[in-house]
Amino acid sequence: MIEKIPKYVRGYVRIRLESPMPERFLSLCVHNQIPVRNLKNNGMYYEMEISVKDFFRINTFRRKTQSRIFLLEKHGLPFFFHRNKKRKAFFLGFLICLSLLYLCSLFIWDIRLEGNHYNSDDTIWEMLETMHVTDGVPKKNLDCQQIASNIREAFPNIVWVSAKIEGTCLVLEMKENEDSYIEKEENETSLDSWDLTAKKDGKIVNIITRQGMPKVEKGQECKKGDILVSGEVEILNNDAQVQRYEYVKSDADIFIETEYAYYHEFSLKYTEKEYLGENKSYPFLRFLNYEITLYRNTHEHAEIYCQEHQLSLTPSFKLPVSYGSITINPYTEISKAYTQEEAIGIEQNKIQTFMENLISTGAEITGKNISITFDQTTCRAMGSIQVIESCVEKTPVHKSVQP
Amino acid sequence: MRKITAIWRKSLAESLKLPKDLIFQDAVITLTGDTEILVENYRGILEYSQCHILVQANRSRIRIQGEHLEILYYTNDEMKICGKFSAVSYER
Repeated sequence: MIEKIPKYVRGYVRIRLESPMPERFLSLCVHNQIPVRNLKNNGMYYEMEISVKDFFRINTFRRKTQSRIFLLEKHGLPFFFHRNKKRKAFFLGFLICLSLLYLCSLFIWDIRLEGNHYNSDDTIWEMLETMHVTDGVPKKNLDCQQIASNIREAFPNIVWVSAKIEGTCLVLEMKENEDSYIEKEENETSLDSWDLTAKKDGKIVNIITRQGMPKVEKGQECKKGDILVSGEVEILNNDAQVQRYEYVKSDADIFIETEYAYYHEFSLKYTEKEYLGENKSYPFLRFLNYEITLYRNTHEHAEIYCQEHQLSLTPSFKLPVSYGSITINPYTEISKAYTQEEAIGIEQNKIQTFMENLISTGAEITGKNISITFDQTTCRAMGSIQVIESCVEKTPVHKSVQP
Repeated sequence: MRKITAIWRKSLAESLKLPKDLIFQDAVITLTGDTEILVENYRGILEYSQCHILVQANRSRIRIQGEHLEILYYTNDEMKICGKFSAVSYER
């Protein structure tokens, strides 16, 4: 198909050759760089296709081989223009169409994001809008390197960005840092020494110290911020006097019995949608910000869906024209109220989800004390959940003066 | 003398691992099923009718026989023939 395009653009003719020595005629053509296409032998004569330019070169060979040549068909753009030279409006329309396409190709009509998982498309588009990089921006105003560096600055977890213009699309390929938690851990380990302190109030259930000085014992109560294992180790001399302090990275398995307060309330009244089943679709055509549509919404409540397709000549040559349909699904709102059994079921599911989230963090649930109460409009659950968990954090050591 | 040249060419092609069609200028015939033939490295067409085509190659003649033979394109370098082929034979 692609090879036919230059042939059509240059124009070609189909000729009939009547010759006493056709093979010689063909050899002369080929040796003089005249390619012959669709050569067919019809018994007494031959038919073939050659380009318009070559048609004017074969006269010499015709004379040499005493052949007769008949012009059968003319094809291609030069003949098309010649045939339609009086149709001025057609050519004007053709020229206007070409000019519009050229005009459209000077702008960006689509911004494509690839490789972002943690940062949503909307977040990045919002950031691009602040830089005035939106649909319809002239291509010459875009500085791809600047866009890439601005994105890297605005989103620290994006480690690599490539911005390039493909047709009328701005393609932004990016790579996000997927193991940022390792970096955080590395920052912590950059400390020379640390204490282990309690993150919550509670009671020590178990403590096994591997490094550092334990400051609490099993069964002892602790408050938030209390040092449980100190990174400051006292080195004593023979008289049991402190000779010096050494600082270590405290390491211990500490489990604290603590409790989480739980509170959740929700209204017993709710509204339910009852669909009327009168779905209607309206087509629309949008050019830039102008929209042509038959869409009318006369309903008080309705769900509205919009499907939009952008027109494109090729996958990378998008146009500022889009079409689609708007679907309306009308409904009425009905006020309802949960029964006590339904409300208890909903609340129990909430509590179960809360406890599953705690278990997923490594906590062991030892008990719960939650009561569900009702007033006229509200269901309320409050209480506490007892857990055993390792809720300690690393804090820098407050260094004492060396004796 | 011609035989010595041929031997020398053959050994050169083998030692340099060059394609033999380049050294000997032999015709290359590529068949696709029994409906399409691509002929390269030829000198010209000697005979052409609906049921046979005789092509002059460097060292032999190639006769292609079949029905409704049509030359899709015919240039200085290669020629593509389509139709329903029944035989391809060499004539010395």
